[in-house]
Order: sequence, then structure tokens, then C-alpha cells
Amino acid sequence: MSEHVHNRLAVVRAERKVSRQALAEAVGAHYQTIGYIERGQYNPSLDLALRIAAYFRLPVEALFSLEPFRPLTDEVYGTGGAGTARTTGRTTT
Amino acid sequence: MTTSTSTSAGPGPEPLAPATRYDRWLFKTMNDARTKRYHATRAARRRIVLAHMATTAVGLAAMVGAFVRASPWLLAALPVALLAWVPLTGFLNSMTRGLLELRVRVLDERQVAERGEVHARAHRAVSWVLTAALLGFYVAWLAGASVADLAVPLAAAGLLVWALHRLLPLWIAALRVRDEPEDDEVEALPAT
Repeated sequence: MSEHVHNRLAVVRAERKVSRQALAEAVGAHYQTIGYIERGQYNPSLDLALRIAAYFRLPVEALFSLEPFRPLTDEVYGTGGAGTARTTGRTTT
Repeated sequence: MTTSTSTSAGPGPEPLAPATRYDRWLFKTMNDARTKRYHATRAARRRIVLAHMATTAVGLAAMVGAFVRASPWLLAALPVALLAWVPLTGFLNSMTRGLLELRVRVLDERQVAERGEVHARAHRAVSWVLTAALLGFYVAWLAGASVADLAVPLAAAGLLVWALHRLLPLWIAALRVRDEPEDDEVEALPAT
């Protein structure tokens, strides 16, 4: 049972300028664990996922998903432009 | 410093005692970044594990040899082996970030799960070694060997199983370590 959970943690963390160490300390995890989550090598528990989401004040589904995320630019500016070939079945509302 | 919480479904985790000053010191020691470069790659980690196995074998051989030959002089190899064994053990603990040395209350959920996996694998391996040793001694007894004949093999097997019981989890944990995540670009950014 190793369902792959996709996440946007690296993108959000970089956008908010939060280091792995700072995030790890805030959510009670080891900084390596944050790195492994970002690389898709570890799926966080619901508890940890919720704590990470709460830290960024985002809904958990904004950070974690069972389906691949669309590029953020697609979600913000819409699809159809150049470089948006990586569209998936995930829809936004 | 991390705080561990259970990931299982159910009524929730048992509250853990807060980290002590010793816990914090050990956590800091085990996460000392100065040794990172010595075990940054998988190849380097394997070399350290193999070197640790070799020095352990030398130490055990010295102890068994001293027992077999009833000569304490062979024990002189023990401190020599220890001179290499102690820093190598430090490297193993460093590369696993103290996975087996730190108390559960300072590990996070991934580390707790990893520790369980490492102990399960080591337990399985040691169980097979114990079974093989018992079968071997049983066969030797059926073949007519006396207890006196088996004294040295018994001592050696006992020492080997004891060493495996103590060290196999550390070796397995070290071999399962993955490369560190790449450098954190956020740390290099100026604060805004």
C-alpha cells in the first residue's frame, strides 16, 4: 500500500520563503522528512499533512492530492497557452 | 527537534514525555552537519558500513581467538579494532541521524516508522541466524559431538548472534539511508 500522494510543498515553501528547517520545526518533523515529502519519497500522515496545511493557512487539498497537480500558472491564468502540455484530469473551480 | 505523533487510526496517540536536556543534546549531536560530507553518497555509506562490519569481525575474532587459545595477548587486537570501530559507529549514527539512538519522543513519524521497519528486518535476519545455529548444533550433537567439542563453536555462535542482534539494525538503517534532499534554495534568499 504505497499510494503516491502528489504535493506542491516545494513550490509553496519557496513562494513563501520558508526553509525546510523552519517548516520542520513548526510542524514537529525532521527537516529530512520535509525533503522526502517534497521528493515524493514519503507520504505524510493525515496529521502531519494537516499541520503543514495549517502552517501555510491553506486547505490541505491545495498542498496534497492523489492526482497530479496542474501547473500553478495554468490554474491562475487558465490553460491553452504554450508550455501547458502537462494538463491532467484534475479540475479547478 | 521533532516531536513524535502516532499515524495510526483510532483514538489518537498516547502523549509522550517532553524531551529532556539529554534528548536535546543527543539530537543535536546526531544531527551535526559537520560529518555530512563523509557519507553524502550511497557509495560512501556502503564503504563505511563495510568497514564497520570488518572492524567488528576483527574484534569478535580477537575475543574468540583469545578464548580458543587461552591467550589474552590476542585481545590486544581489540583496542586496535576499537580505535576504528568507535568513529565508524559515530558515522553510522550520524548518517542515520540517530535513528536507533534517540528516544522515540524526539523522532518524527517517518523516523519512527523507519525504525520499526529496520528492527523488523533485523529481527527476521537474526531469527534465521539463530535457527541455523540451533540446527547446526543439533546436527553436530546427532553426529556424536560432545558438549566439550562444541564449547568453542557455542561461544563463537553466541558472540556472533549477540553482535548481530546489537549491530544489524544499525547496518540495515545505514544502508537504507537515502541521499539528502538537495540544498535548500530558500535559505540562500534574503529575508523580505
